[in-house]
Parts: sequence; C-alpha cells; structure tokens
Amino acid sequence: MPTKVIIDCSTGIETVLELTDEEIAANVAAAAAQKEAEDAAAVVAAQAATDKASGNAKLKALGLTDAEIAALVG
Amino acid sequence: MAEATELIAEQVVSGSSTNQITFSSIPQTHDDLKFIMQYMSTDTSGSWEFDYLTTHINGDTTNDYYQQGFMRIRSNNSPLPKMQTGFQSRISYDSIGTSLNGQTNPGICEFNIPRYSDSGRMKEGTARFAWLSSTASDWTNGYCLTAPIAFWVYTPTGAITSISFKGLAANWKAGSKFSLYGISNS
Repeated sequence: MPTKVIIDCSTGIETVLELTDEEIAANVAAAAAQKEAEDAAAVVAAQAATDKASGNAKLKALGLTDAEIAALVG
Repeated sequence: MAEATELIAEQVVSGSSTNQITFSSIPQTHDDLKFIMQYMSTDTSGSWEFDYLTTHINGDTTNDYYQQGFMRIRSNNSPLPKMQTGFQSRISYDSIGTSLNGQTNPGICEFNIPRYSDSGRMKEGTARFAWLSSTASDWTNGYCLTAPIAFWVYTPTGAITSISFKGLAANWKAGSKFSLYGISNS
C-alpha cells in the first residue's frame, strides 16, 4: 500500500500513513488526465509539423527559395 | 546583505512505498525557504518516460489555487517548448526520472519560496530543474530537458506552513532525498 510520510518540522517527528482509497483514486485520475493531455499535445505538435512541411513544399513549388521561405515564415 | 542558511528538515526515502512527503509545521522564523531535492520514480510501466514533481502548499488541492509557467532552454521537440501557463490544482513539472528501461537518472530541483510567512499576500516562487534521460529516443522525442526554469503562484494569502511533494504516476524510489532549508537575511 502506498504511504505518505509527514515530517513535523517543529518536533522532527515523522509519521507514516497509508494512503486512503480516495487519495489513491485521486492519484490515478490525475495521472490519467495528465497522460491524456500529453497525448493530445503530441497529436497537435505532430499535425503542426506536418502542416509546416506541407506548407514549405507548396511555397517551394511556387518557386520560392529556402531563404525566401524563412524570411516569410520566420 | 549577510545571509544565513539553516537545514530545517531532511528526508531520504527508503523502500518503494513512499508516495508523498510532507513537511508540516514549518517554523515561521526565517525569511525565505529553499528545498533542494534529488529524486527518482519507481515507475517502470512503459507509459511514462518521466514523471511530474507535484507540489501542494498547505494541503490545498483546490483547482485554480495555483498557476505556473516555465521555460525550457533546450529541447529537441518541434515546435520548441515555450512558456506555458494555466490555473490548476497543483504545481507540477515533468522533472522526475523514472526507472523505465533501467534508467538511473535522477531529477534535481531547487525550489525557492520567498517571504513564505507573509500572511497578507499571494506567494510567488521559482524552481530550477535538471533531468537528462540516458535513453536516446527520449531526446529524439523531445522529452530530454535542459535547464528548465519554472515560475509559480499560489493565490491564497496565508502563511505557508506545509508543503507536500509527490510523483504523479508512481512512488518515490529509494534514495530520493528532500532537504528543506530556512534562509535568514540580516
């Protein structure tokens, strides 16, 4: 069972308690939510990279040089 | 200005079941607080190349009590990470090395809390992190971070008397070390 350690800084006494079912459930939910947010951000980042590559290719097809594209899009 | 630093309390993790470490009844006799921490996670699940150092102040888990931003000086990800902000129920930063793939790379953090005993203002602080994975794909995928700097705000105005640290997905690995220092100016 996961535990929490509480250090009383005024006395130096350490107390070890088992996490409650509610605390464990909250941990699991927080981790799942964070993982979901990360996965969503990765999808957005991948799409942005794909869009950038596609946009650059189209600009080059119009005859722009790499330097001109960089000047346009930064 | 002369400055004196005093070790208030220290905790070194043993075993593999410690999920959360709380420093309570923090004496209100210093000007500032500083935590210096070195930590790893027990996680080997394959879902997390890193874990999040999760901080709660005064036991508060209320959503919107915390806001944070951070800068990463170097990462290999695209687009490059930049300042992020958002109200949330904790301060958290992806700085914990996990035990995935046999990694043994600890995260290191210096967490600063100036004027922690002020009872009439919101609290602001900074944290500096370091964690470099030894797994090549972590760098390729942008998970390797170099010298991140975080800023945080805790909006309640009461004095800070308690601070907790835990990983988001797993327990602290044995040997993880948490040291709390009080800083006095004169």
